[in-house]
Amino acid sequence: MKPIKKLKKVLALMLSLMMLLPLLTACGSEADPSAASQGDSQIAESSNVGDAADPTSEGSDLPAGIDWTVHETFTWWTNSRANNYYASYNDNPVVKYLEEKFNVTFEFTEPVAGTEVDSLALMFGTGQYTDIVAMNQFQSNREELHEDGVIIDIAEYLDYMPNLRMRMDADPAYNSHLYNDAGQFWHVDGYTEENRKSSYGLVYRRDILETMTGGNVQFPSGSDEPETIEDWDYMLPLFKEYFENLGLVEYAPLIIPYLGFFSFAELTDSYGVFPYNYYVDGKTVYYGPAQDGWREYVTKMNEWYKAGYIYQDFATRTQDFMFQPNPSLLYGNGAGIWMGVLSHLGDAMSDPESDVVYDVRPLKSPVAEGYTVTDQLRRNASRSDGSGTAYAITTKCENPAKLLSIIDYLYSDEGGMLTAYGLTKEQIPDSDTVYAANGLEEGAYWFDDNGNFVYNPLLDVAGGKLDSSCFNGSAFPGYVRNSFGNLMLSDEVRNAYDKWCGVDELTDKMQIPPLSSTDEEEAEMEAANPDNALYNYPMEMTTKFIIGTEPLDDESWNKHLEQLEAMGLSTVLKNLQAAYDRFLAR
Amino acid sequence: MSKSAAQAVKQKRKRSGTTWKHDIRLNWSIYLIYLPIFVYVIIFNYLPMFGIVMAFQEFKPTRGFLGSKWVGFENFIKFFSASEFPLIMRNTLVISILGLSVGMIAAILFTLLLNEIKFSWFKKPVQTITYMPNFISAVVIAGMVIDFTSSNGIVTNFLVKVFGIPRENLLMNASYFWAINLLSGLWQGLGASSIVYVSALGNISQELVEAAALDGANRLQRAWHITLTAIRPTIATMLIMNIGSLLYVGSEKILLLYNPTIYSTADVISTHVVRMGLEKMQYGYSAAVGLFNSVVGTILLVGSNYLSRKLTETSIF
Amino acid sequence: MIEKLTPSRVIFNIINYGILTLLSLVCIAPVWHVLMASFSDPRTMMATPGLFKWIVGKPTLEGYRIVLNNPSILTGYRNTLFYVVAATLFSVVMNIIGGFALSRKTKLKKPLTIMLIFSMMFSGGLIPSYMVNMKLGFVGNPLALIIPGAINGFHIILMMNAFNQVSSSYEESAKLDGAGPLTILVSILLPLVKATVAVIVMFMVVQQWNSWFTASIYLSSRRDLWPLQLFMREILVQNDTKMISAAEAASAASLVNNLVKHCVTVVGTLPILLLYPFAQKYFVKGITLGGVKG
Repeated sequence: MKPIKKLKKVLALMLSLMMLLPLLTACGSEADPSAASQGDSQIAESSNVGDAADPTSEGSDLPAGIDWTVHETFTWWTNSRANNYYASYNDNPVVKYLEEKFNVTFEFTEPVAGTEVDSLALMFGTGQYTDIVAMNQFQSNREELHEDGVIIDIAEYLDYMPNLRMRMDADPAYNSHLYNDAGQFWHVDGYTEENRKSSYGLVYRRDILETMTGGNVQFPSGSDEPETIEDWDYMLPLFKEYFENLGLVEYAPLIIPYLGFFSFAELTDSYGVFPYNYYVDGKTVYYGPAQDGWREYVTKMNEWYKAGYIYQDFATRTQDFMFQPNPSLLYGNGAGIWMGVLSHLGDAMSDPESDVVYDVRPLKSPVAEGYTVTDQLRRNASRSDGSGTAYAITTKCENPAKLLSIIDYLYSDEGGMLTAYGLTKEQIPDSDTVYAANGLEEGAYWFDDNGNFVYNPLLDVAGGKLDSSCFNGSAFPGYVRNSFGNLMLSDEVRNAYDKWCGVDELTDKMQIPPLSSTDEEEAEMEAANPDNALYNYPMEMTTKFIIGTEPLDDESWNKHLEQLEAMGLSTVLKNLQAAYDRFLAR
Repeated sequence: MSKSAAQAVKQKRKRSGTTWKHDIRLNWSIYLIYLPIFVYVIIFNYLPMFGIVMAFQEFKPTRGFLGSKWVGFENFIKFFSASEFPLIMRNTLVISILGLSVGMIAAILFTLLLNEIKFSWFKKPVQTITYMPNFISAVVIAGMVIDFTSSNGIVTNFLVKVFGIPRENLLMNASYFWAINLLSGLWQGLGASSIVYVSALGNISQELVEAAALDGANRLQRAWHITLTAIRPTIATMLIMNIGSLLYVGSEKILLLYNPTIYSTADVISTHVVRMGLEKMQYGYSAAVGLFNSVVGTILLVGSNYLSRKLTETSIF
Repeated sequence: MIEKLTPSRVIFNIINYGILTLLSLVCIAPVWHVLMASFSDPRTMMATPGLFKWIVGKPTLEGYRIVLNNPSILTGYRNTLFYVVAATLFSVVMNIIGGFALSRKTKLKKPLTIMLIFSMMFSGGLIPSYMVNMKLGFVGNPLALIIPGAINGFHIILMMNAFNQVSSSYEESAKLDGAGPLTILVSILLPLVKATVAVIVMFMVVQQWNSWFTASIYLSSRRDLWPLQLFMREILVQNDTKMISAAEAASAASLVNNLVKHCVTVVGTLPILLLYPFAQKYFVKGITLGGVKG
């Protein structure tokens, strides 16, 4: 009995030790991911190191003042650009081209889409930051990052960035955008030429109007396309009648997002206001929901809602895409006006089985009575890249001068081609596999015999299937040289951009640019508006006014204004105005 | 009593151990077996707890735990003095208690009903099928609920025809939200939460059931005395654990379902925290709220554990 | 067991079967809808509201073709299989042992249980856990999906309960035979609590199958190690992007993308749905084998 007992006890001991083993091995194996991938890229790069042995002999186009013979590695943290062509941005052909040209290695860390905020927090919290970080998901105060010694002041390195300086000198607005009040700046982003474009905007079903008027559409304003609110007053009943004639139970002459307004101020700027936040007109800071124009907006919407012109269930559609609300209405011949995308235009949405042929056309934000086009807001507020990807260089970077030089190259005219379009046949590096694998051996673009710019027809911008943004350097900061590509736009697309962004050249009003407030200002604003109520409140009130749960008489409106005041509106406005004044003075 | 029996009794008494020396001599192998788990809990659960200090700081990731400013109870005060605090507390408690009570009762009832099915060709598929919605992501379920409760949705139509309620979008009427949230929660979770009870049933001795039937106990008596008694410890355990997480109403589902028109009944602590965090990364604040949840939850847990011990003689500790 | 068919019994049966059938229909509806949608014609599907009873429009395998041709899906499956097996094995063993140890009447039983419960109630949050795991070398390491989440207090308590319910006479007779605690656990107790073990296995398998967040934090750069759910999540576009490119907008709004979403859901969920009936027989069947009288 006893020996067996003993054996069992020994077994117990062994079992417990086995349990502990994984914990010990975990402690032991300090798996270092950067080491692993560095090893891989070293192998990949070894052939290049031989080629680029003497970069200065490649021609004197490499910036002076930097030692390009030393091979360095720069780590990037950027938003996920997951696609079907390559697994990590390290394989992007433009990246490879730059690596070869400048004798560097770039290593990209991309968090999984949707986890950017957490990933950034972890990166900063553990002190393990990369050399350069994409900042658009960083919601806290960037000034503090500089104070805490996490990011550097790029203004100090401006000597290494002649191209960027050229852009800044040429455009004072861009100057103000980059610098903060103290003459420092900590981010580089994209500077877009001819940025008058947008992937989405209001659209309407022209064919319904044609059907209902027997081909004789007469807008009150007299023009071919709807321009004013009266034109909409003319359109909406026609839509409603059409749907009712079809016997539809669920239909929507106008679909608005669940918040009660469009995020780019369409329709609200008919009354000159930006719906949920602050906007400026080149001098003063305004708060949308406190303006009379906002009251006119919700009154009008309420009128339309009661008449059944607005989608009755709009307030619950929190899960819809902003630019494709309720597909069953759109595709089921049940929607008149909505926020759509380029691919909705024309007859693309028609049902081949039915004889209803869609004619979807882009729609301008209308002008209300008593207002003009100059009261509307710019769609593209600044010349910086619409994607808003700003990069900051961290103090972990050992050679910021070199990194910034490389980035500066991207601000040149030549570099601008890389970011906007990609590589030509001659530029494709030996180490690239992606262009070849997708049939792009001829390059992403070229100039034909007449000197005209031609896209490779396989790319989506030329009607093909490949997503062009995966083959160019759009993830990088730099000059985005759209002018050539813009020539290639089809008339349809050009018309859409006209309607959606046409007002950009005509007005000074725009969404408030990023300002830097002093600590005292921040504290005062925080004390006056603790719960962030000023941001959340209009989101609730708009819908309530539109649906009618809140009445729209004078008493209710005054109560609303008082409520805003109680939330600290004037204090916040005062401080923002001070910051904006400084912004204008940059 | 035979010698071995006497020895057994003696051993049993000794096992509860009156002295440490006795205890270690008797149970050292058990402690050894538990050791890896003990170490694990220390490393993975207790070590990271230092992060709770965030609740008392104005935490910024770049400044870390040592560098962030100490603000004492400011985060808590901010939380308690928020104008919506009474509202979100009420909503959280109602939604949580509703979900817990109805959820548990439904799960237990479901288990009992299922137990009465004798044909396994019906029983098994039913069990499998009721478990399925658990796998459909919350996003899909929420999308469906939004569709069904729209002005002309299936559920709305049914309610209008059968109960004559005024036709409107059900998710735009604050009074319906608690019911909608509860029912969609049951829809998704009933199958999953009943597994625990079903398996507890599986531990019942079949002989016991037969003996009772032979003794003339009818269906209801059998259900009460045998079945429910057998799963009573499970019920008590589940109840205690769920009460411990009373204040924790997960935000994911509600965020998907709610909209500004029904904030008055749909806004709970976790969704409020999410909305507040939209402009700034308020780590200290959400840590404070989390700490509050944990403390209240622990108090409730200990309390219900004590009650359970007094009333049913089963408890977790 | 022979049942007497009294009228009340019949009525009860009808009601019971009725309720359960209704419940089953309600529960299978969303699953069926997704399945039908995955074979439906993209454009017709967009225009059709409500739940699908059958395939809408012209049936198509296009969505599945796209999904199954995606190499990431295969990688994801392979990885998930590994994670599920490894994590479940490790976790279940640890949780059984934990539940067993805590069910024994020792002097430390109460303090250790309290310690466990307490650890379930309080958490430091993402950043401290990440820091601890980082120091342990879990970043970029697949073990991050297996070891950190393994001990689940709730499962330990379930096991503890199950062990407590076993009549002590089993243990007594084993001890009389001179068996040590480990033998008792393995040979005597485990077979008696098979149903509960099956439950925690099932819970763990489901949890592992559905998990993506841990992988997204610790394995963000190692795509070759991603579990299936993470790939799936990437394929399903986010709703809330404020600034996306024209290509992304077009793709997100595209008809095919909608179809693919449904196919991806099916591909990612079907295996585990099929697994459940197999696991079921362990829940339902826990009849005591042999045993002890009285």
